[in-house]
Amino acid sequence: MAKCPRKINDELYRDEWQWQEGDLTVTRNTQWSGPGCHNGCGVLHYTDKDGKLVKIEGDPKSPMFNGRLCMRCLAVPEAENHPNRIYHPMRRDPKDRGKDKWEEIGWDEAYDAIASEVKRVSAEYGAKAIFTMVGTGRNAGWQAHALCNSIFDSPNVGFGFLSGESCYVPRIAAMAMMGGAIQVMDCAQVLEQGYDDPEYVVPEICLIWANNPIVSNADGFLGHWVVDLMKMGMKLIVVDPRMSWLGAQAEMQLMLRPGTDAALALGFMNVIINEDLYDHEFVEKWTYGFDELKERVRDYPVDKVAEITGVPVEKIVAAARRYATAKPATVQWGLKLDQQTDGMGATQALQCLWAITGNVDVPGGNIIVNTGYIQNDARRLVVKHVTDVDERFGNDLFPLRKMGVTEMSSTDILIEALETGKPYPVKMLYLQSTNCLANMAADPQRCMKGMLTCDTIVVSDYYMTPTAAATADIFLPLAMSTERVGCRGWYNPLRTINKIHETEARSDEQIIIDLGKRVNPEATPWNTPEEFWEDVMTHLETIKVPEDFSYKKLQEDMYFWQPTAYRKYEKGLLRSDGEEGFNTPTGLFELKSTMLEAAGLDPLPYYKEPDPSPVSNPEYAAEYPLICTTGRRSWEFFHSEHRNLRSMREFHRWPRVEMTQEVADRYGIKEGDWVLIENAQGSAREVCVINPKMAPDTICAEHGWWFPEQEAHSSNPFGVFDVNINQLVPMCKEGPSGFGAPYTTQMCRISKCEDFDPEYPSDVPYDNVAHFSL
Amino acid sequence: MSQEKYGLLIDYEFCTGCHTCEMACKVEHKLPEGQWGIELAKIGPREIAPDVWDFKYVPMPTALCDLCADRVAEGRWPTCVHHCQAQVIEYGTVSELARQIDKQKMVLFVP
Repeated sequence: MAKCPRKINDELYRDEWQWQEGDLTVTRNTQWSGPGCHNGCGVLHYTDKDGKLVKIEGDPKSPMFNGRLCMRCLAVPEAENHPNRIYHPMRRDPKDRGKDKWEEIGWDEAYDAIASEVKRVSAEYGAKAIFTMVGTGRNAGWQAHALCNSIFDSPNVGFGFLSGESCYVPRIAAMAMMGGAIQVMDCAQVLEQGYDDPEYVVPEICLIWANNPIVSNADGFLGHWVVDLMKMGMKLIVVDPRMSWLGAQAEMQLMLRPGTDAALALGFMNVIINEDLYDHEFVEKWTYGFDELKERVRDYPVDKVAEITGVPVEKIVAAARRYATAKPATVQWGLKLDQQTDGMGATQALQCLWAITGNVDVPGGNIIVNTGYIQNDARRLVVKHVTDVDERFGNDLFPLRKMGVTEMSSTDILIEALETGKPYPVKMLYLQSTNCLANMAADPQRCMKGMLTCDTIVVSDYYMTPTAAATADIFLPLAMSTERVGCRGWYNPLRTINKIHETEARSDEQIIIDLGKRVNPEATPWNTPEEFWEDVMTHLETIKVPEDFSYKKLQEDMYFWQPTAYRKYEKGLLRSDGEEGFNTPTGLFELKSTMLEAAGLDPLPYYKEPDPSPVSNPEYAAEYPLICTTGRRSWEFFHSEHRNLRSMREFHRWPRVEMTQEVADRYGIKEGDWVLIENAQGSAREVCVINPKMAPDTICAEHGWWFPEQEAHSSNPFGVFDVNINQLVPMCKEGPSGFGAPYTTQMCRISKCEDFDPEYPSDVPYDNVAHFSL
Repeated sequence: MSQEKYGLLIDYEFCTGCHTCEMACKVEHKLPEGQWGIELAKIGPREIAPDVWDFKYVPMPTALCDLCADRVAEGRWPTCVHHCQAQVIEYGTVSELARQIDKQKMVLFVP
């Protein structure tokens, strides 16, 4: 990876994993727990003799990150030592849900209560009536599967009402079917020598599509790697309905109408194939279905694509030519492809785009990553089999689910089961790492009502959240950051997450072990997470390690680099049979997917007009004429996290909705006004900020908002229903594959909000920046 | 001969406006709300020709910037230099930094 650009003081920044510096213990660590993002940055945790985290710094010797840190990581001590942390389990009578009637209990009492409910619900309704929910993946993803499938013996683990599994799952599914594995932009992030690796090539062009990576840092991708490469000469084409810093630096910005990505990508391929700019050698030798793709792109002539997307013909042609003729060229894509009902078609299209231009698994292209899936090894050690897998929600309706493309249970089906008892009742929920009512749930008030039909709800989290306040009967406090062990792969190198001190809060692994002892002791023969992780290291299937490898050794060595290679399809490195080719049914990169075809779905990239849209539903659009995209990230927050940190709120006090001056003027709104955003389903309030350039009639509203400074125990917990933008988004509008949902394509209208002006109280603690009074 | 001055060299061509320098400085110096030791300024975004945008951030050290004297005395880099995500801030003597100005869109601050 990138090297630290300046001299490192070896006395202060050492090679060993832990050392003493005066009164402080310094631990080189991997920051991969909430609150925080997917990256697992290399950090130095400075703890005092009581184990209290007093300082964090970026680890300049971290090969992935070289000392840099974002503002959220700099606030980790503030988050970890926050006075609102909960350290003791709590219990509340289900009839008092929503009320401040919590009783502090011991861990044994909490576990006993959960175990007893698991046994009762299983006996009365079957174990499938227990549903485990999880949030976004970090050092707490596989644990939900372990808990659900092994301890509860239920097939139902899913996201916290994330409709259509619309975060990376659709793209992962499409990549698994078409290319046989995950493919990512090559920033030399899997190479031990990084940019200095002699095989690495700086991409000539990076096509940034449906994300703003420097802010979002999604899925293990440090966005500032893009900036590193810009310094080395890489140019950008940015496809985004809104102006961003990256867009302003780009050679070209294509501001498409939200939800029309598939049409634009098909238009690119129309140009590339018609002008014979594709890579003949790769297409002929390594792809399947090119003739059918060629036929399909004929349906997307550039003038038609321009009309659909709002991007001018000349820009589409120029961008397609630039991408196709740049060698190598790479695509950095993102979440907004997943958050469209038919986003799968766009995902297929973009993979076809990087395949026909010969950018698959080449240096500086889109590389296939088959390293570092340590979470799969961990899960496999606990989950030996899944009972009643055919009864997992959605498996009967969506063939891709039945084929095992995802192991998540559909919460679009769950919400109906909670409301109707069909196809079968769900009586117990266990929520791990998800504050769904503030964040990923579409139509959160509907979801809350559904949740409240359950007999028992367990929520594990760090702080009280709107979700816990409204629904939980038992609250389990989770260990954070320096308080928990773990392991991080995804993708290279392998490294440990080091526990430095212990509090009364417990890690997800510890909870699995402890609950396992009470419910299914055979599944969890370990006593501590440390024992568990040592066992994982002797049962690795995804990673080849030396004989003397151990968790302890990995901790001491800091990093274990797994070997990787380019053009793995030429070298027999992708298939279990050792043959050359891709890990797909045909052994080729499937431009036309045989698995999608077998599932009765469109095997080729396709575009379908979003519903509603100005085109598909002009009547609705007349009443709600603006397109509301959601989910744009902020520097200060990761999803619904960090709202309780005063430092972050100084930078970003209120939820923001972006619009152009033209749109603001049309509705009599000024920058800084509170804006009511509404459609036929619901409303939310956010503060107007002006973005000088966006796609016409488009606004961009932030997600994940709640106000930890407001009252928790009310019908509007922490004010979440004043500001949660997902109240405009429906559940149960998932795509035909079962994947994708319309989070990014809702229609709305806006008006100046005269009767809403919350105050930010002066007594919110600001501990990290202590020693002053407000 | 006067003592050599130290400064911060900023490559604002690649500053992304991520606020890391501001936050790192606040944490290091325990600055209260409303106070800043380094502060982002913004140019644009402004369309200066059809489809050509001027949009830059420039971190500017304030009167409270002491170039992290305590950190530097310990042998560390100033915290904004250490943590900058875009790696666009360098610390050194004015003459060393001036020699590094080899391209456009760089600015040398002597706080």
